[in-house]
Amino acid sequence: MLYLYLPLALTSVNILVPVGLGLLVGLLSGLFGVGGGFLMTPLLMMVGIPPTIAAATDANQIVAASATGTLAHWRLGNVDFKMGFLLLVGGFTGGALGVQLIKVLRATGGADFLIKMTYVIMLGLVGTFMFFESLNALRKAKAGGGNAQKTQQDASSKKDAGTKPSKGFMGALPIQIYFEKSGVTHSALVPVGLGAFVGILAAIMGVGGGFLMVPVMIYLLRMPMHVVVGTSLFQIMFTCVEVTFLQAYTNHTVDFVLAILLLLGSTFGAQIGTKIGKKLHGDQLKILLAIIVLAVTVKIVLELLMEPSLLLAYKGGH
Amino acid sequence: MSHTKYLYVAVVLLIGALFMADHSMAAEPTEAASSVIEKAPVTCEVLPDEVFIDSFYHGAKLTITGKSDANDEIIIKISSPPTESSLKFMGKAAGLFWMKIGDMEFKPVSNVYLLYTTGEIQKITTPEERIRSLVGYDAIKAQVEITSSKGPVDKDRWFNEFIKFKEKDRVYGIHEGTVVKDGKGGFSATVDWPYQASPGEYKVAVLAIRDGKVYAEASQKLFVKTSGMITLLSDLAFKNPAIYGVIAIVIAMLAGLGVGIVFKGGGGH
Repeated sequence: MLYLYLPLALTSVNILVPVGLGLLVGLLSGLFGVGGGFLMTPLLMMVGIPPTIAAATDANQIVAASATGTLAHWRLGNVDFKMGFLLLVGGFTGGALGVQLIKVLRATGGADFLIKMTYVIMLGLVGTFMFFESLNALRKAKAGGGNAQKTQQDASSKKDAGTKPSKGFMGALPIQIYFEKSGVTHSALVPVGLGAFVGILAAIMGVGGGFLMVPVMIYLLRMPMHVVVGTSLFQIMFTCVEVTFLQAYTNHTVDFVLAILLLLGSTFGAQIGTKIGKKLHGDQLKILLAIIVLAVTVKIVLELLMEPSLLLAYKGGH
Repeated sequence: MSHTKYLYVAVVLLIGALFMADHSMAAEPTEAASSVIEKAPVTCEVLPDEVFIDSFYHGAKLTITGKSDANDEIIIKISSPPTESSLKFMGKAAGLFWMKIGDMEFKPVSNVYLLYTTGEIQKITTPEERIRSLVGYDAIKAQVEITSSKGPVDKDRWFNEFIKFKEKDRVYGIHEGTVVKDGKGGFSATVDWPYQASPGEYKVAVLAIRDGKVYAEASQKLFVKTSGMITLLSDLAFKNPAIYGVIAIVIAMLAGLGVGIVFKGGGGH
């Protein structure tokens, strides 16, 4: 077996392990538009990578996976750059706020509790909601007997509705913009605010936030699924560029060799995922993502309830 | 004639001086050799005594050999200098959830502690000798102080957890009966040096045991160093973190876009 020594993690790994993990997570990234941080970091820790190195290096490899995913989706015309930019502005601001919040909580000793609880609550809520919503949509589609004409009519009426501002509070906000690619009209403050909210949660949880951003775009911004995936990847790419640089500069926790091994797998995985995703219906994609998110939630809950085999751990990470 | 006489005397003195010098030089190693036997009846040799961590490093095989009295029991102890080990500890938060709830300090403890012996430690050494020579986990426990950010700790419980944690990482271990004697005073042990052990200086000590007590000791240093690309990347990450960060991002972007271009044929628009 071929092993490689990781210069910053100070450990040796079988090359096939990170390449395989990269392939798996990259596949999910291309399929669902999530960076995969919520999966990759725990997986890396399971194979013996120190938590701080796992989280920071994961951000580095997500840059590669999301870059290739963004390129693939851009070619398919699935990236709403206008929406992505506004979400990014919010995400950067929220990320900075979240980092400060964690600093305060670490000082008071309440950070780990908040992080774990945020994981369980957010993943549980998002997973459950997406699962039942997609299930209903699939049932309705089945009941409709695949009436293509009706679907086309729905799509065109949706397009017409998209040019008009949202109703209620969101519609009353200033700076209303029409997002051509997504076919929706929102105040610029909505994606900035939602981006900031996800940014705060992402910083608390130590992940890119794709699995939160995707439902936000689907259910709150009412963007079509195919544009959601591409736009999410675009936003994640820049978030992870920021995180990689900050982690490398301040904490020296980005293991370049590990990142290369991961991205060898993840870049190919993302391309394969994008191609598979094209063949699947939006609701099928959503229900698959919901199942993965719920499985991760169950795993975290079990970890929280069962006594771990080791009661000591190195400092750093979640 | 007198000159010839002086010349003879000079030649004789010179030959005598040369003989004396030669004799004294020949005598020195014999004396030195005998003093080695008297002062250190046990020897220790570690091969290799330098371990280089390169890109394909996955630990190393060390061979430790030496000589002592054929009736001696032998303990080989490999350790790093004692220091303070600061770890996170898990406990129940809100009486229900297992998570990291505080910091725990262990001091003084070595980051690496590996023992290789000719027999069971309990049988070949007395309890007092184990404490005195720091042989075995009980000896470490006797001297370690454990403190926690959450107040007093159950020393027995958390010391056991510490050993479990370190053994899982392969940097702590007691390998009884792994030192092989040849019956003529020679002994040897093969050590699977764990890749988890960080670069640094380690002490390999050979303890010769007679009647349950360490009566002689020999030691050698073992150096674990990074080399080549590992040193280069590690130096870059710590000395030029901004450049390191930018390189990491650029390579990730290029790799991602490169694969994207490769897949273009099967892509969309």
